[in-house]
Amino acid sequence: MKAYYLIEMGFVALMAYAAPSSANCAMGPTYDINVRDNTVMICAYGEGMCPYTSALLRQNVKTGETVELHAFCAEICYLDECVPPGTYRYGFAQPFDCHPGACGPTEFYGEAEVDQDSTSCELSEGNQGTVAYELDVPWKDSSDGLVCDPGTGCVHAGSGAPTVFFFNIGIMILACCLRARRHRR
Amino acid sequence: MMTGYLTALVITLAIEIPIVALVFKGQRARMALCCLVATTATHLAMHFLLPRVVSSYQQFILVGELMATIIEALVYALSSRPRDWSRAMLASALANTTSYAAGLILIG
Repeated sequence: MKAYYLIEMGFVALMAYAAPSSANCAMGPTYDINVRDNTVMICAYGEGMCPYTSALLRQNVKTGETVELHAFCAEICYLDECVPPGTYRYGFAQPFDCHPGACGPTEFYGEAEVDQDSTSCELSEGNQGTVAYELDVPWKDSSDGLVCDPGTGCVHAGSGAPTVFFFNIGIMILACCLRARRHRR
Repeated sequence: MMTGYLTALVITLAIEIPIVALVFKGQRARMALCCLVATTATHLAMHFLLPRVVSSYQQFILVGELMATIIEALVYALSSRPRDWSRAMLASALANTTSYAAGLILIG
């Protein structure tokens, strides 16, 4: 049993260093976008959890070509798989309402850059991909990509994964110490 | 969405229940049942209530995972006979760390 705990704790300590990291400090409705190979994960917080009432759009910044994503969810986030290389803007067709009380801007879209070749990529089962979107994107006339910006600053949040691991490892060490002390008595 | 959520819940339960049962020698069946109930409750709360009040992925992960560890430890401590706080903390932290690591590996 002790060996099992040691192996487990070694494993989680390693995982703490391998954990991914990203940060998005904006408060209020905001996009948090992460890219892994050809898959883009688009999370919206405050509102906009997958599947949302409004269609999620992907616009190629260079060509302006826009597609609508069929909602393919990973928990509360959208997944856009097999995205060709390029720089994209992801935003809802019905933008978030301005949240003047938020400590950061309300965004029209979030940006992602994909640089991996997608020719051999296949969509996951259940992912219906994208369809062409012929209407104008809501941020067409926006110069800064913001619905509004109260401009009051915001607090930066660090990556969560290492904290989760270190907290849990701390709890495990504390529990082991308590048990060892009790056994010594 | 529900398929993805249910997959995540089943993976979480499949990992956490055996760990909790393993840690609580002599009361495995009862603690496995406690784990099933507690983990399902915290999982539901984390995925359907928490996103309404957090504003970033970091907050979602931090608040959700840490609260799950604390709440589940409390449930295990109060359900164990005799009441064993250190074993409950160990079970909860070990189970949640392993399932979180599995989530990072399997889902990313």
